[in-house]
Amino acid sequence: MSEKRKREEISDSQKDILSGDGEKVNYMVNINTDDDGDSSNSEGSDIDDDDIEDVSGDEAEESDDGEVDSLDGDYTFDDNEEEGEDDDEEEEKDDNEEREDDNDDKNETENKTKVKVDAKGDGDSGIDDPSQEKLKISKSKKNLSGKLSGLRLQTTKADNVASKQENQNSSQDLGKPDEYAEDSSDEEDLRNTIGNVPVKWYDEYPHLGYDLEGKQIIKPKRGDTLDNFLNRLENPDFDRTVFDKQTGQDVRLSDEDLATVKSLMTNRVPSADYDYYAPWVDHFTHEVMEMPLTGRTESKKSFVPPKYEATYVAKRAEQIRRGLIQYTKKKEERYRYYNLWSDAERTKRGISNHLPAPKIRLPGHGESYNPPIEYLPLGAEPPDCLRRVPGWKSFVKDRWERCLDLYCAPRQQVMRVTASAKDLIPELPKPQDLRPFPTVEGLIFRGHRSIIRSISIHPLGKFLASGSDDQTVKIWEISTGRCLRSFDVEAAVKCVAWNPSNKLFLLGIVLESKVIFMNPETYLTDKVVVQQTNSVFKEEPDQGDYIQPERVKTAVTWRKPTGDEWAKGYRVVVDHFRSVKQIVWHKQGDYFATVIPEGDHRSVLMHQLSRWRSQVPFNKCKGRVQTVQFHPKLPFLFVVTQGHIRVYNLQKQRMLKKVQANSRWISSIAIHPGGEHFLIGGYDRKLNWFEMECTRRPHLLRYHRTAVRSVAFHRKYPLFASAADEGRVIISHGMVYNDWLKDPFLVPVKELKGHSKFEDYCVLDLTWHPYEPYLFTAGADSTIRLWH
Amino acid sequence: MGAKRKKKGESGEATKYITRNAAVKKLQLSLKDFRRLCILKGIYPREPNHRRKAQKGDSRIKTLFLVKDIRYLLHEPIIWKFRELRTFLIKTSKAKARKERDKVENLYKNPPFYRLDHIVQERYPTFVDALQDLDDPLTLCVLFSKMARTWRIQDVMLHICRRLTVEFMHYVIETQGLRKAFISVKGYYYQVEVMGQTITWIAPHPFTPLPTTDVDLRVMTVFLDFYITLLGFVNFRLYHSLNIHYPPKLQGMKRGEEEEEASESSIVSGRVASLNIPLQRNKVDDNDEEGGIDMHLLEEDEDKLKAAREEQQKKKKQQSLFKGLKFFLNRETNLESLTFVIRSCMGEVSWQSSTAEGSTFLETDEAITHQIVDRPMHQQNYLSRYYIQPQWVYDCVNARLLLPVQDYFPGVNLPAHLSPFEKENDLYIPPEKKLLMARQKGEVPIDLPQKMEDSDEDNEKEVYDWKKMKRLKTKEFKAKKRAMKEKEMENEKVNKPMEEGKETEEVSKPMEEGKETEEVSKPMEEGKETGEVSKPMEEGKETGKVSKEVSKPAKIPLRKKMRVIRGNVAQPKPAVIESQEREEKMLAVMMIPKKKKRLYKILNRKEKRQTAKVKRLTEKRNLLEEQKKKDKANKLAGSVPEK
Repeated sequence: MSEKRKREEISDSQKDILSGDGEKVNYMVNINTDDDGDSSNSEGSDIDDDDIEDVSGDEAEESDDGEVDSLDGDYTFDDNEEEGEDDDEEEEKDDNEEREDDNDDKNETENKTKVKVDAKGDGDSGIDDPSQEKLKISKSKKNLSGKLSGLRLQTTKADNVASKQENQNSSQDLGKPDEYAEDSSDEEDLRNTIGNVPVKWYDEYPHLGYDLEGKQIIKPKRGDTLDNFLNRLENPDFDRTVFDKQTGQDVRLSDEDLATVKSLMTNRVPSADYDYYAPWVDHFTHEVMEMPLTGRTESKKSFVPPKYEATYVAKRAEQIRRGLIQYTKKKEERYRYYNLWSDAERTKRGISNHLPAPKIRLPGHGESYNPPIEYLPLGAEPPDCLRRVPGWKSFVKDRWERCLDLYCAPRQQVMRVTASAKDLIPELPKPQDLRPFPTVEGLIFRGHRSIIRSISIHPLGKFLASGSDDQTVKIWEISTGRCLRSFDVEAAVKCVAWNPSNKLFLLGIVLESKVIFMNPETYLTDKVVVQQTNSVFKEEPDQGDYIQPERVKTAVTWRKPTGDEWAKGYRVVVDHFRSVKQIVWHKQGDYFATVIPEGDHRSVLMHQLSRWRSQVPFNKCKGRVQTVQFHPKLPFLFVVTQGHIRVYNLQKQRMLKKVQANSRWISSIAIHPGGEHFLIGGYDRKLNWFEMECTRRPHLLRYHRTAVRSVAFHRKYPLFASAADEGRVIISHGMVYNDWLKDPFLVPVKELKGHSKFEDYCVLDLTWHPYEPYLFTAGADSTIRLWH
Repeated sequence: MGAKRKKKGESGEATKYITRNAAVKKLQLSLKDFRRLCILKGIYPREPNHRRKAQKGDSRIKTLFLVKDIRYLLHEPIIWKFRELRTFLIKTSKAKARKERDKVENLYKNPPFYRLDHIVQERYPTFVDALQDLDDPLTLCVLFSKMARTWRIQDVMLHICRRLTVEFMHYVIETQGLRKAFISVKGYYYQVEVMGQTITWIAPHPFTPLPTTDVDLRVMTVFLDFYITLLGFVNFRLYHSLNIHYPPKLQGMKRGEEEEEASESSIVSGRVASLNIPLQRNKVDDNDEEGGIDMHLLEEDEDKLKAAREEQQKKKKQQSLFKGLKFFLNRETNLESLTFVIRSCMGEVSWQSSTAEGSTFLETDEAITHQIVDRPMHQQNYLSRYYIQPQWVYDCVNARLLLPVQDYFPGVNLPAHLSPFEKENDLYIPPEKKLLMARQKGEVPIDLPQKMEDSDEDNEKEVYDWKKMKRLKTKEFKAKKRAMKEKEMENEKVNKPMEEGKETEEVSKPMEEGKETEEVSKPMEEGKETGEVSKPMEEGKETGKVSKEVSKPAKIPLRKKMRVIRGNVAQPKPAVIESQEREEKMLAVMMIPKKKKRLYKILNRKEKRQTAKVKRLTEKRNLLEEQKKKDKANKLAGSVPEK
């Protein structure tokens, strides 16, 4: 009988069992016996049979063993029969695939096997009481079914009632052993008749299924999780107890069951009795027959080594040679540590001019998990204990950024300044040590109604003249600040300048293109000097045979003032061809220079007051002249254009020096009374101190924030002042030494503030008192202030 | 023949630098490989002094390398390994595509790999160089030892990282090298001293750090590769310098156990990793290494030597800070960190054996002095020990003192955890730090607990004392003033007739005044320099003295008798002096040469910012404390009527 057919039959029988028909069970038994017989028949006869056939022989033997066992354990006939069948299938389990082919029938058979095995085990355990044994058998059946249902078995099981009946039966049969009392073939499918349907269909109902009589099998009560938990603690067999879905009961697995399950899980033969080391039956002999079946001679091919083998070997050899296959080589460790810095010889660092990366920034108090309260943002609270401190989310990112910095960020050596700002401040002497210098505002001269362009102090230091845009010239008394006289003139006054001579009381005034010399006599002036002045200018000087050159004639005309003008105080009027900006006196008081910025080559004119004569000293225009200044001691003239200062010797009529100013646009110049130094203020905020002998490297003072308007030296004290548009007048100490190698000693000593701004102008002119350390400033706010 | 005309880009800055793309081209590598090479060899871009010149006229910002560095890379053997790796990848992918399984297997049996030993030696010619640069390796290794395994991070790497960091910590414990430990928001900062070098690293809080998406782990693993090599060699050397087995063996171990301990898993998470068991040494050498002070350098400078000695003693004290103390750690605390800190100060540590491996004694041990607890405790089972919060341990180590435990009892509001890294010369010092400094100097008894109420009272006392002093001083001052006034009165009596008789010039008067004030203000400034200006008492004294001196030359001959008369000196107000000083400073600032002016401005701005910060912090602190007091008062007021 071929294996396939056999299996078909078994499956048929299975179906019968499932249908729950008693007769069919018997039939099955018959088949089984038949099967047995078949196998026994086949055992000796056919040598050429396949493996399975062969195994079936063994299995027959085993079934015999089973019978013996069952006899020991007081077992019934039917069981034995089943067992035989079981064993049959058991052998087949060797081959997994076959098992999977027909799950149903195999499981069924396995189930029975278990029963048998269990019985055997119990028998071995040496329990004498047959009733007990029977109980156990029934139990074991239940167990088995339960367990196997866990393994997706579809067998029908006896219900509660059935098992109870069984118990009763067994108790009845205590006395006489009845062979058929435990007929499991009947009992087997008595329990639940729902058939091969999922058990979960009954989840919602109180019953599990139906018994043979069609009555509902009620679900047994199950404890809650607490019971389960207690059960787990109390029940030593808890780990081997399995819940049977179909009966709804817990089933305890016996040792044999466990062994079987284990062997099933490890893909071994479930039966513990299976002999793996049975003697090998050699069906095909390896011995060469003496008489071969055919008489053909061997072909040549069978003697010649095949070509593909040669190529294969060559290929492998090549691979070995190339190191693709390495059989012997031990795998090298990636990280192996030893004393790397052992040899004293110091190797050179490979990278040139190595700049080590800066270290990680260390945290301050603010980064503490529990910082002082002032470091926390308002309203935030630190975690009350270390346990509550959360992980830092960007920890990995921080490290990554550090890595990025290490290999991506360009490095550069930067000198770090450890000095504090204080160290950079130069140490200067205390201003108090450099007194006297003006410190406070002493007087305010009020009276003008517009911007005061220019002020001048009488060389004796008692009067102050001021010219303003309100077309007045005022004379002030310095000691009281009183306005002594006010002269109305025709135009805005550009510049006023006292004649430095003691013998004359004369004020030069610039009105557009006119230069007027005025005698502003007051009741305080020295009568003798005033009279002398008036007498000097009563008559025109005698020109003799002097003929004015043409270029002078067209530029300047001297004239006597008219009657009205004389009454006003005018003594001489000099008309220029264009508007004049400035008038500068020579220290003797006879000569003076006027500046006409738009005058081209005639922008600087020299005049002699006593003889009413003028000169044009320069033939060429060397840029727009800003201002001119006489040397205090020598007959030199400083002519200041935008970027240069030219020093001319008037006697020799020669240029002495041309100085490149360190300034883009010079606004004013002041010459030190010693004559060896001069100071230049520029519209580019710079103040330069030049030495005549070394004009290349001026001392630069950058303490003004806006354009410097005017600078002035004190005649007596080592002081100079500069005024800028920001409204500050800065007084500096400027000591000059006789030693030529010594640099002048320049220290700013005082900053004076007081003037208010008017149309971006503030202080427009400043002058020092001739012998006191007083400073006068003329402001755009139409006041003059005295600082002492 | 004239000199050859110079061409652009052939000398100077232009030849010193090479752009990144040019370097990649020169090395014939892919950009990825170039980066890897740079990381391994420690090559980094440089900022040129003059970018336009360095880039041959191009002013765009490019990454520039030194040509020398790139030339140095040319002969690196690892470049060939990179190429091999590339071919290996090509081969395997090809074989995979062709489904040649055995070939793939064969290839994977021997993948090309490189070792970085020679690079470590090149980058760190001496061992000290390596130690100096150990901050980043440790931090990264610690991070990776805590990270979860992903497909990017191999298991092996994590294990090696864990092993190396544990080994290093063991070394620190053996040498008691821990100097500072700080719990920040970001993690635990440890600063240790190894062979005279300070090493700082950060360990994350005990959670698994998760990489965010914008993190490129590939770059980090390249770094890690090098760091693992470096750290391994450093550990080896360190262990050998102490005569300890490397890889570490624990004390009191049998032979069978040794092998077990040496296995990877036990080091990663076993008794070795617990840090709680001392290591086995080859020989026991008891010669204490005396003196880390370099005598040669300090011979001439007595003060420096003294300071260094003091520091040395303090260090020793810190090293044995927890000697004889037994700590028991509750399971909610950070075992690793606490064990490391306590054991490096010679304390003994244990925990419940069920918490982790490596516990040495039981909780029931009566000799336990401190139990570290990080949860609210409702009952304290043992009276023989203190129950404290973990911050105590860290604060003690940083302060180098055993601080009073009362502040750190469970459930108590903890005092602020101060950073030991904050510089002491910092302008703002929080009050907690001041207290700590006083404790360190011994001005405040160490046992006194630091509580807000107490400190407040102290402050009040101080204030009170100060007021008292002031009161006393003002009394004295007044008395003196009175005396002076009387004298002045006398003087005036004498002066008046004289002034009437004298004809003074208007102009000269202000000058004299100026002179007087000038002479007076000099000592005033001296006083300011010594910082005693704020006390009116001393000012008065000094000016008094000065006025005596001044009055002598100012004497005026009288008709009747020759007498020395004390003149009346006008006392400038402090506000006047202040404004004068401000002006002087302003004038001096004007004279800073242009070159330094910018620097001065920067520094000045920085200082201003700092002072502003200090001001802000002090104000905030005062405000918060006031608020606290108010709250307390409110509470009290609220609670009384309720009762």
